[in-house]
Amino acid sequence: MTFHRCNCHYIPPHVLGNMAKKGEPAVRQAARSSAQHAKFSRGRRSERAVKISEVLSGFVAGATAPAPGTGAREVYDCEHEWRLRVRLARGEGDSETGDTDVDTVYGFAETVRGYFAELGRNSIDDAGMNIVLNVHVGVNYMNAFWDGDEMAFGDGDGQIFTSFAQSLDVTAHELAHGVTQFTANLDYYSQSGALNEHFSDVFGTAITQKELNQTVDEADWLIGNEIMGPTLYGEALRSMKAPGTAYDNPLLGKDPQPAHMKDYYNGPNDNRGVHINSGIMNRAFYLAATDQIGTQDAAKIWYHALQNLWPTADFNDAVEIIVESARTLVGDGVVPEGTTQTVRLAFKDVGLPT
Amino acid sequence: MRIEFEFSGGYGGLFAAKPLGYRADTEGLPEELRDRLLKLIRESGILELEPAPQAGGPGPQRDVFTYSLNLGEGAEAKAFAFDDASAPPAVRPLLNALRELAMAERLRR
Repeated sequence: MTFHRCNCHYIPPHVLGNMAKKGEPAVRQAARSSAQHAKFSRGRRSERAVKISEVLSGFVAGATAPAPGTGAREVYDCEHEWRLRVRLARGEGDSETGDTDVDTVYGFAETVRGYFAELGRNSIDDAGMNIVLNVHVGVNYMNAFWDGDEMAFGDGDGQIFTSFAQSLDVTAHELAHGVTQFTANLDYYSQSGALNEHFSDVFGTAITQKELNQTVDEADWLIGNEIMGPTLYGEALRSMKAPGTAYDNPLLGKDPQPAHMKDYYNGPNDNRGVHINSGIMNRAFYLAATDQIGTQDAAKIWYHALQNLWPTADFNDAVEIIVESARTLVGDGVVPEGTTQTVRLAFKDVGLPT
Repeated sequence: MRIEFEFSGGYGGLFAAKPLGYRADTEGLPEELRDRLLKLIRESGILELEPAPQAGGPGPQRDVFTYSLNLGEGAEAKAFAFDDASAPPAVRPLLNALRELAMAERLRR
């Protein structure tokens, strides 16, 4: 797949970021909107540039290509090729295919789309963007990702990882990356990148807990445990409850996530720790959710905040905006009195703000 | 041919703090593995690619694996950097095979 990127901004992104952070309220709002719009436009151009021929080649009898911009689901079977949109297997409203991954991820996408609809959102971009999911990507491919326009799921190798399409947590996490792209559009680097990962873990967990009708005490607060194959069975990829404890084995080594700012990772790897330092924010969400608020109300606060953050936001910015969101939602009667203090305390317990 | 490969990332942020590597000289490998790797290298067309400079920053893709690959023969060497979304489809089988070899080697140790 080819990406065409353009960095044509009248105001550089870092300047917009600083304006969003430091300016007067009206300036902050305008700057946030501009920063988000610039990235949004880039994403949409990319979508137009790469998809038309692939869509045309993907039509097959029995699967219906949904109209664009209708928020419809499109599940493509990549037939173990290393490219996306090989064959449209199931469009919105089509009957079951008999392929477990195609049908499962089709159902998961409805769950995630419905969750965000309850939060007032119209699909990934809040403008009815179709939800495109690719399964059976590559051979023994042990990963799932968001490519800026759509999702890709590998089958795993069956030993270390099973199919990534069989996990609601994974589907929600990747789709949430799309939601973040069309809201705060957090830069995938350092603290803003760790926030990007954090928000995806939050929605992955919140959606899974809601679907399973779990209380905060019943939930395992683990990420990725359901895709572990026999080699790693019983392990997980992240723990929101206890970051740093998700795994410890000869293959993956030890879970490097910190649970507190005092253990913050300052190294250069992983885009300066986007999958590592997200543990600190994840722990704060867990503490807030389990201290009276509950996961679903906490997720409402976090979603409200996501729409008011900006691409270069750091952890301190996020704390400020999330607490501000808590106050707003308390005032609106969406979450109970006392929520603001609980959220503030949760962040204090992980060493934030610094 | 000398092969130096590293990868990390993905949904799981695997080997995030320290990328997992695989190093080999095809001359010293068992015949079957040597032939398989050389075939994958040949079929990928990677040696005809221009070694790409590191990208200026992350693109819109999230949770992709990132790969670095150095291939050397004699005094010549080529260095490549890819991720799951930007790697040419023809190169993906080679990257996948090297990733599997790296993980298998780690498990053996």
